[in-house]
Amino acid sequence: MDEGKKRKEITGWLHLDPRSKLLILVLFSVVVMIDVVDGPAYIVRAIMTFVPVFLVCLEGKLHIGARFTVLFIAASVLQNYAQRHFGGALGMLVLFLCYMVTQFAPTMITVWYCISTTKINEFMAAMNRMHAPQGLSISIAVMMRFFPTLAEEYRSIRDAMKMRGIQFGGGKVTKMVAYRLIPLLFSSVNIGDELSAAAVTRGLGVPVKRTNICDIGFHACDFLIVSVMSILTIFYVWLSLQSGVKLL
Amino acid sequence: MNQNKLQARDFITIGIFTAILWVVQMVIMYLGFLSPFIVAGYAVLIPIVTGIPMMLYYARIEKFGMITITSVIVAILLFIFGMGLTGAPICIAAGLIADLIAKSGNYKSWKKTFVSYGVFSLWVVASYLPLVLTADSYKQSLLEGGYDASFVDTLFTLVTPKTYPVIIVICFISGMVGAVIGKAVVRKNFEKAGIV
Repeated sequence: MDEGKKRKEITGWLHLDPRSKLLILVLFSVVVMIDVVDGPAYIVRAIMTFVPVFLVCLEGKLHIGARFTVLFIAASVLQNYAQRHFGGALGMLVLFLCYMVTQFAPTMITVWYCISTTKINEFMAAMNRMHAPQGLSISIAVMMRFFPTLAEEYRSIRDAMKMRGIQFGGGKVTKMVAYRLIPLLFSSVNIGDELSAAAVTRGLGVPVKRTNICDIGFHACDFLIVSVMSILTIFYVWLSLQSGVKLL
Repeated sequence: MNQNKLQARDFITIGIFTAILWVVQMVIMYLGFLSPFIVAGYAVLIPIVTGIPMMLYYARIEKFGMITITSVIVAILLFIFGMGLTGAPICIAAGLIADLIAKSGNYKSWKKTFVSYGVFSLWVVASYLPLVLTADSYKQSLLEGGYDASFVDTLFTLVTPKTYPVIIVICFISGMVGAVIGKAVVRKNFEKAGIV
């Protein structure tokens, strides 16, 4: 598969340990949990948003970082403008789109960064080192790997349905759901069977401790980025507590 | 090898179906930001639509632990996507109880599967929990974020501590409806093809 080849070629200028990536993801979820829309806390949040973008660029994916930056800034500006000048249904729609981008895009890019730059065997090595139960780590690894496959399958199904003239925005809702979900399920089940066969051939599931040749470990840049993110998160939580946001 | 222990093949099934479950619910979630009624309707829509993949999943379950692991992963994903940890215990408990119910029917009994999926669906309610508990500050942040006051008001008349038990019941019932629909779809499309 082409995808697999591409994945192996990712050798950026900076390669973080999978565990630091997980930590960044967790810190980020704390930040997303607290909704802040203005004030100094928002500035901290914006800075934090650009840390993963920066990391994506360092991994050698400049175009994605740039695209995200443009999207994020455009959405923020438009949101600000729409709050003051638009009203009614149009305003709501614009606000909704901007809100989606500013609220969810940071998580999306962090998740995307973590998934696309971590090789599965590195992830397994990291989970082993953290003594996570093997079942959980295999399940999560399969899931991580499966999201891109699902997207790919979905694109093919959509194209096929387009040829049959079945598109979104026409016809019955149930049909729209059924004609996409069921073919997707069919191919997922088949892929799952193939994957199981492949995994068993490689000895996944034998009752011995698995070894891993991946060389993972914390380096100076891991410490630097993790500490920067931790300090920013603490600062963010402190600021939002100051401004009276209730924590849970 | 112990036949009741989960094996690599089962873990792969878990991974795949959890991924599908998550993608389907994400799609519904994004639709929801368009209208407060859809937001409140998550408890109905998500269990019904995910009923189809989940029934296929149930058909492949033979051992204890698979539904529990799914619910643990869902809880982790909910945390990553900013729903906090308040819902996590409920989510995992729902998965564990659903698993136990299905196990008591040996994963074959249709009645037990039906109830089990109803219980499993309660994870949707768990994702609501922060919204209910922090209603005031959440409302404020939505208003400051430029959301229409009427949107916010409608949302919070539908989802309040008072209506929360009702939502739980609705969610449970929709779960069972989803199980019936899912089962019908699975029978129509998959059993004929010999996949189940």
